[in-house]
Amino acid sequence: MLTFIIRRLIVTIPVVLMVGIAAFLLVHLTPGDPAEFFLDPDAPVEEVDRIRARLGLDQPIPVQFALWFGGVLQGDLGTSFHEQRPVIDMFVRAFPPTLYLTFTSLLLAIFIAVPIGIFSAIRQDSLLDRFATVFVLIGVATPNFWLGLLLIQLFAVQLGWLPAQGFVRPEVDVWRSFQSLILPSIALGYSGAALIARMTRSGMLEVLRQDYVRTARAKGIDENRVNYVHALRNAFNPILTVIGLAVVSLISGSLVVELVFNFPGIGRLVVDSVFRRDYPVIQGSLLLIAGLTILVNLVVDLLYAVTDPRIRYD
Amino acid sequence: MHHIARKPLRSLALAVAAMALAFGTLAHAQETPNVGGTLTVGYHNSLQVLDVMGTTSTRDEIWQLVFEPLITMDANLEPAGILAESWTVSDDGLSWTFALRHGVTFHDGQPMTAADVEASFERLMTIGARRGEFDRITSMEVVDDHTVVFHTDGPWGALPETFSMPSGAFVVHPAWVVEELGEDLMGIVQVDLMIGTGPYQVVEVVPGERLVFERFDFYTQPTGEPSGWAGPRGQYVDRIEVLPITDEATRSLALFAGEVHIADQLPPEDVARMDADPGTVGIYREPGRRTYLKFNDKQGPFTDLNLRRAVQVAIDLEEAMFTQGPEEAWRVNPFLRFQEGQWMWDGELLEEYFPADLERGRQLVAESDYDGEVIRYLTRTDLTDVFRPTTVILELLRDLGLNAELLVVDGATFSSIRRDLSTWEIKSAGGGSVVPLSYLDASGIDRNGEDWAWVTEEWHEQLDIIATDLDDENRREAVLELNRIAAEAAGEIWLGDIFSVVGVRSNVQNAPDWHYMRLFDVWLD
Repeated sequence: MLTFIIRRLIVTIPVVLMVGIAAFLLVHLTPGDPAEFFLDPDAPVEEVDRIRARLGLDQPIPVQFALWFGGVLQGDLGTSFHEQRPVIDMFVRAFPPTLYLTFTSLLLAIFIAVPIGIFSAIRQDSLLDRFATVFVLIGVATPNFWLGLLLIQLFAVQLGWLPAQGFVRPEVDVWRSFQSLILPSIALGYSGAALIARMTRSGMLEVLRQDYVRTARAKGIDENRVNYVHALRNAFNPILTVIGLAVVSLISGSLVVELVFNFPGIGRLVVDSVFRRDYPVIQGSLLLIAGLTILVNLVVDLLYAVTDPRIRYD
Repeated sequence: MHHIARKPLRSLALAVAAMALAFGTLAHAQETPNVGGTLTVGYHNSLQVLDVMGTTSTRDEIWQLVFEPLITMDANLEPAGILAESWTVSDDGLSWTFALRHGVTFHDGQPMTAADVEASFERLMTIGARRGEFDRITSMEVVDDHTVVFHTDGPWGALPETFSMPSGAFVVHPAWVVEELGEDLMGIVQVDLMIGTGPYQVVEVVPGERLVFERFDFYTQPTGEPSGWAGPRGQYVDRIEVLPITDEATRSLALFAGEVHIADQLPPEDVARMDADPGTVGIYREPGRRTYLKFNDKQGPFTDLNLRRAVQVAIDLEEAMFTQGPEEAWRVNPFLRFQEGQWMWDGELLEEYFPADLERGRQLVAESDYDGEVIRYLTRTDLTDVFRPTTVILELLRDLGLNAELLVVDGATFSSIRRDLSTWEIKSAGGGSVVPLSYLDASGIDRNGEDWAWVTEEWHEQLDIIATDLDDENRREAVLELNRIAAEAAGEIWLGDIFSVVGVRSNVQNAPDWHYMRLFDVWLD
């Protein structure tokens, strides 16, 4: 197992390198001049050039890349053009809210979706199954920003039960922090829940049609034991794969949801930085998101071995 | 490293005296204000920068709480003293003497003196985003603690206006802050360096989450009437919390949910809903923003004056502005700048140059050299008021028989490609800054800093009068002439002004209805 982890981490290095190059090139090839954001539209060209020089954008692109990537290798992601502070500091501040949001969304998705998927597979074509199908269809078809706005309108504006926007850090007030997570977690987690429910249902249906399930039933084993021990255990790996995909999808989905809920996480940081062409922050964010994706995939791969004894990494 | 320690309140009595002075000055114009409480503002900008001098991307409503310039502008966009009590110009027009107000104190407890003005001026000329506009100043002289003189290389009637410009402003920092900063910009988390003389002081900055200001109890009030940024400043609430909420819909919902007292830059369509809700009120703030069309007269078909005039005579400004929302939310204004105060308004321009005559436009197209080439119409999606008239303009171009194609980009891309004159033939743009008369030159300059082809010697002569003449009447006549030259050349078409909408909770009193929000004048019931 340890060898596998080390091997995977070594493979990660060229991937991160490639992501770094791609992030840098993408950001620099996108039209838009960061210097323009410091000045009025009427600013003379000389002033724009002066700001460009101050930001280091007057250097040739290979030099800029070498400087930036050299810093990254030493753990320095650069300094934000706009906030004039290290990108790492900005991540340290913005990462926890995103982590809380993603985690609660995932928990919500799993606790809602897995039971729905299992029951709708066991009771295929029942009323519950049809309800689950509608649930999945709505979840897949509803844009999370729109769902977010509806939730704010209902639970914050009309009922006044929950905050409309913002995030209260748990170290400030645990209860208010929990409250501030509820609506964004639902908005973000619903589409993930729909995906997981759908995959759980189809995975379970496939397993329930296997010979060994029929044999178990023929032997007179209790139906619940057949469903939850024999079938679910074997259907779990595809579900795990989807959960892994859902985590990545939740991280990317947080870009929009954080904007709608004015949530001070990585997602809003990325969106603000893209609009302002704050290159060091965009590049750092892409690296961070790529790193997280690799990490999630590694964890999912390791969990396969836990859930399925046939898988060995040694 | 300069160590900073905020001075505690010297005495409650002093604070009360300062407050009494403030309220006494303002009370005659307003109801009896409540004092105290926390005002929460949902703000449209992410507020990542608070270096007023080094950039133009700071927000006036926010920095005016903390920092102050020598001169500011009133509601008529006329210069008015803030830190300067008065100013005079010498007979030869080459020396401007400023008398500074006595008793002004920085937030660190130190008195503001001419040495601080000198240090701030040096910073302005080193890293100032608008330093080029102060090039006419050859030197600055400190006469005594409360008198400074600026020497210019020639008469410069626009000096007070240039000093009053809120964007990239010449604010006064303590000399030690200037020394501490060197050539660096003030970072958003450098709270210890955010020392000004304004009515509120910065107490906390959490980037992207909140900026918190508290009343500065030793503030010395400017004299005069509150108008624009000029005059006494209320200081009614104890604390102002500004929450950057960049999404328009979220800002609006936060207001309806009662989480903020004020939400700025809301869509005009929200006003009816706010007025229908007993808990909220919608307010239009004038003059707001401007929107216009610019022709590329250096390359492509619009080098032909007939083709530019074709669009000018055919365009229905009312119809174009109608896309901006309810009629209360906008006004037609083909003038180079806002109608307020110093901007001479010449209604005749409207009838003479903008008759909304499509047939006459088609005739002009026929008389032009246009032979059906593609006309790329560049516009941006990030500024709603710039984007809204797009469909009407596109339809007009096609009605005129022009082969127009839409080129829609985001703001950053727009800012970048507009410089390349080979990429577009006509573009939509907009602006929101209230700027002095001398900034009219912007209409004649392309994004590469060069004159547009239509710019004439006469244009420059009028600009020169506006910049240098010491007689305001001469300057204003030149403004009228400048507008006529611009309309004749049809280099750009100004459509009108769009008023900003601010939503306030019904317990907010003295709510802002000017172009900028005077947050320090608001009180809560």
